Amino acid sequence: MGWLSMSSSKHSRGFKGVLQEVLSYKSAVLGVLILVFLIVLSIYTIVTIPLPEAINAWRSSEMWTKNPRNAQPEWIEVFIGKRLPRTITVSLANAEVSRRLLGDGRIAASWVAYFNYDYDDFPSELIVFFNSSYSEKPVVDIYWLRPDGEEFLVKKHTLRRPDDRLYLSNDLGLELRLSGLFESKVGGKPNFMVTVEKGLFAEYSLDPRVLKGRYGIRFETILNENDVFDAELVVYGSVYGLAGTDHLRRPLIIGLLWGTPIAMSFGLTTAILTTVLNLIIGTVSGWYLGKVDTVIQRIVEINAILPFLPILILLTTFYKIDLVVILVSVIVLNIFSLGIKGTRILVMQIKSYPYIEAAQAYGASNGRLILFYVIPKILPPVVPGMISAVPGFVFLEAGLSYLGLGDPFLPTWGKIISDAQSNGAFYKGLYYWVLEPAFMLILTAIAFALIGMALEKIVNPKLKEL
Amino acid sequence: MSSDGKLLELEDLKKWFEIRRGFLSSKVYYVKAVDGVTFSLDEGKAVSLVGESGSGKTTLGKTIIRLYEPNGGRILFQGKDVTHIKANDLKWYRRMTGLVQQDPFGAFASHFTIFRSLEEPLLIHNAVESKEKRAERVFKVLEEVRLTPVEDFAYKYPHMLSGGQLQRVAIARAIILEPKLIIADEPVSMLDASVRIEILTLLRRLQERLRLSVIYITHDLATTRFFSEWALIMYAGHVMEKASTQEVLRNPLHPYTKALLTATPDPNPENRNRFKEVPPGEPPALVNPPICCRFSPRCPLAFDKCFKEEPPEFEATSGHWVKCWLYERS
Amino acid sequence: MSSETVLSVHDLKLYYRTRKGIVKALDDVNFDLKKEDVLAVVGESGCGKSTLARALVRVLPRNIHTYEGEIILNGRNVMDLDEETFRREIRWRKISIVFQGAMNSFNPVYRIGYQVAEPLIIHDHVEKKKAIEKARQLMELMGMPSAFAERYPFELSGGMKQRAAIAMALITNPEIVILDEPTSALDVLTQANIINLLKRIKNEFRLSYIFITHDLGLASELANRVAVIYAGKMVELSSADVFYTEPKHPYSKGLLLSVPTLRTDRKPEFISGAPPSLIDPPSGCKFHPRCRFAWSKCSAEEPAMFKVGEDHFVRCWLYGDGR
Repeated sequence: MGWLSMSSSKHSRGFKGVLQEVLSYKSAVLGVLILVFLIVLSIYTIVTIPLPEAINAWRSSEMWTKNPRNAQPEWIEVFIGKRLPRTITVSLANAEVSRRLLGDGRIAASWVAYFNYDYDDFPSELIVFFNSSYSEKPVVDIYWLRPDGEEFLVKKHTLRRPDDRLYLSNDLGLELRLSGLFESKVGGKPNFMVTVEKGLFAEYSLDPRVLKGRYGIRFETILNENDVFDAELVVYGSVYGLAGTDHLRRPLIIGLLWGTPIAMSFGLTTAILTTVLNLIIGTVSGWYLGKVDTVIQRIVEINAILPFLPILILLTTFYKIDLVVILVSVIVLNIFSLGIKGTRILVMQIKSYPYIEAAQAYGASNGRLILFYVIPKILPPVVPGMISAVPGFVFLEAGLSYLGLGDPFLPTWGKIISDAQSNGAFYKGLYYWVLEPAFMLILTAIAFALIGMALEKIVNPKLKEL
Repeated sequence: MSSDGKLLELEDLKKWFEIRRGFLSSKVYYVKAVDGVTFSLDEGKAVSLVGESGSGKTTLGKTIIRLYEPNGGRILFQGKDVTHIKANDLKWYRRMTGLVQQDPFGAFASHFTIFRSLEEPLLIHNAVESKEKRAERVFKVLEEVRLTPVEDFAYKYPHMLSGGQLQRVAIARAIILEPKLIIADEPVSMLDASVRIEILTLLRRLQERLRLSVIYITHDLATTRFFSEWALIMYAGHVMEKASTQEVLRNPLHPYTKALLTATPDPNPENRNRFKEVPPGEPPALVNPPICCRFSPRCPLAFDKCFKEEPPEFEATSGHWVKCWLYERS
Repeated sequence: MSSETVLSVHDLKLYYRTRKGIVKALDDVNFDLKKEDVLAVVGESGCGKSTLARALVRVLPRNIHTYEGEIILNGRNVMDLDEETFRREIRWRKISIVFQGAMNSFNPVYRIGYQVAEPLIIHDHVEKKKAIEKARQLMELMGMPSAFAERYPFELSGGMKQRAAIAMALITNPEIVILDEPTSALDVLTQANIINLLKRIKNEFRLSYIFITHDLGLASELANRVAVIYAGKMVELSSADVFYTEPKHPYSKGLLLSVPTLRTDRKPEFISGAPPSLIDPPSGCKFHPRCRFAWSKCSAEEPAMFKVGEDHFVRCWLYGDGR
């Protein structure tokens, strides 16, 4: 085993020397850069979105009502070449208000709020959020003011509760009326289905074209004294942020960001712990031999034929699943792996080296020999394997989440993919939903694989020639 | 037994290795690597253990410093029986003995600096109380083996040193605990010809100055002369001849010793014009060897008795012992 | 002894490329080898003597930087031959080699007899049965019972395997056999027996040997000429009779004095210092840092091989112009 001594001479150069050598490989430089990026991203995430906040946000359905549903990321415009609508919130704070006192002490009030709409596509949804207090349910007339000066009543709505919501997009009556209006204006059936959004935002022509300009919405109602009326129109866009949103209007960026530290810490922890534990077990086995060795080797052999995934599934059905339970079970199922056999052989070989004999001759104890003489010697060939094992565990966590065996609270990449799958992302053409977490997974895998391969080349010089 | 001036006494020392042949067979065989060795070594003296590979010389050396536990016989060190000592007694014995191995390149943990390698024995035996004193001791032994300036060597890693330099460090490590006995197992056979004598000279001077006893294990008869007082010739687990080195070289008695002397070449251009008279064949296997003289199958002078009975050690002349029936006093 | 020159080497160079730099393993090597000559090539480990053996039979590693010079075998420069011709006509046919540790390089799954016969089967396309028969005869000549041809390598002792390796080198009737430390792992008695054997077959087959060794005593057992190599350069080339009585180069002198002897009372001496690195060797004469006689010229300028007598050359300013 010539490379053992070679590797150890590398080892003796210390961390700095190894890093220098690693960076002499271009592929490893790329790996390190990606890794640094992922680490910075993780730290940024942990600092800016504390975990409880992230879990809360990920599980809340209320927090994201003003986000578009299944919106693509904003940068998708680059590929489409159109300006896609962002979400516009039209509040009454800057509205033109007029009030007229009626004889019976009631007040007839109206609010007109304007907004500009300059996008090349129609909004995805329209909802009016009310926020009022009243003694008697008010009736609200909602008028639509188009840039071409036209104005019509959209809806006569009686508030059902103070924080009522009016889902304009779902209003079939409105859709039928707008459709009729459209046909009469154009003088024929247009070439597209007039939905509420299109009916409100399209030019009057046969083809669906957005009428750009200043739109307005007017609310008219009659209020009692002391009644308060407030409303907000949300014109939902079709793109959102850096990563888009999912079917629950949640920004995917939260899941992608938080997925990073979770994946990295899960991958690293399992890789390091299983490697170190296996290293210790293998060393003990190879050093002491005899009965200890026999027992360990039999456990390894039994462990090798145990089916990993079914056991994990079994475990997760018995226990409350969270990341720690998964972590512990993955580690437990991965120690006593077949790699121990390799370590054991290595240790047996090192045990016969003259320097071990020399140390025995000056009285070094078994513990000292294992700790200071053997383990540092077998560490160099083990480290690349450990680094290369990280992606495997990252994928495992994603795979488990995908199978529904992940931690239900944490936002992870696997969970996003799982959501995308169960909501028919590909069927609906929402590729970003799958591709984004998949990209992060691959990025992580590539970073660790590149570094692992470079380390392997340094530790095992025979590979350099390949 | 009295032990005036005697540091080490071996009485009929045996080291047999157990081997099992076959998968289910419980039959046990023994490799009789060292089979009844008796000799004593005075304080401050050196003895050469000469033999070919497989003669048991290395096993004997390792058994003496208790890297192996003997199967029979006794080892007395300063009159104290150390044959089967354990734990703290053994740790004391480890401190009293040092080992220099054959392969200087493998003798050091490659992840330790020279300093750390030398510090290890001190740490293990808690021999020096403070860090400063430890460093002082390390530097002192480096000076002792002429690796100066010591700072240049102390913080290097083994792979940065040449074989000769590493072997000096090995000697330094062997003497750092101030032992009484050093086993030097072929200390120069892997070194370049031009530095061998240098290392042997260094070892010899340290032995004289520090009043060490040295057991010099070698296959090369020619190097024994200037570096040891006594010589033991080993063959197939037995000591065939023992006497002072001068006596063995000038007046060899055992046919095996004679053959060894004949076979060892001196640089001389006349050599090419003559054939050497050396016995053919090879040493016997040590698994259940025949109970007779172990050299008899190759011995040109062997007679009936040699093939039937193992000879005892005869004192042919005063202080010159030989294990051969030719020297039986009839 | 006839004076027919069989091998003549001029300005042979062999440099390796490594991560640390270029290793000048062999530089400017010149010598002639006559019929039935034994040239001992002596030097310390890493001096380039094994590289010389490999360069002569063109068994080279991949990281070659420079490989040039002339190797003239029976009047033909074999450096001009392409690999295929060299393999077919020169290697093993004209020059064969017993590698260092050859006895451990037998394939454990084939019988010894077949392996000894292999060069015949491969190079001469001799029928397998006939080739093995020839191998058997040759092995008998080497002092091995012919039944050993049926054995596997692990069933033979080191000495016997070494004999088989020698038989394998002789089976194609080469003119030159390169012996690279042929006895280094053997016991003293076995070594003496092998040397006896090598002497005998040299006379029987009228062979020339290039005997590579670090042991000057052993070299004197076979050699009638001696070449000393230090740090990739030949520093002395002389007849054995002159070399062992009157070596000229300070390194040769030191090396000879460092050999402990049994038959004289001379106390061995040593050369202080260690052989230099071949990547970054000292300037001028490579030996000057260890040389007792060195003066300013030695560190400034590399000496050439100066002729100091009949067939006696020394690379040392002590014998050069303007001494």
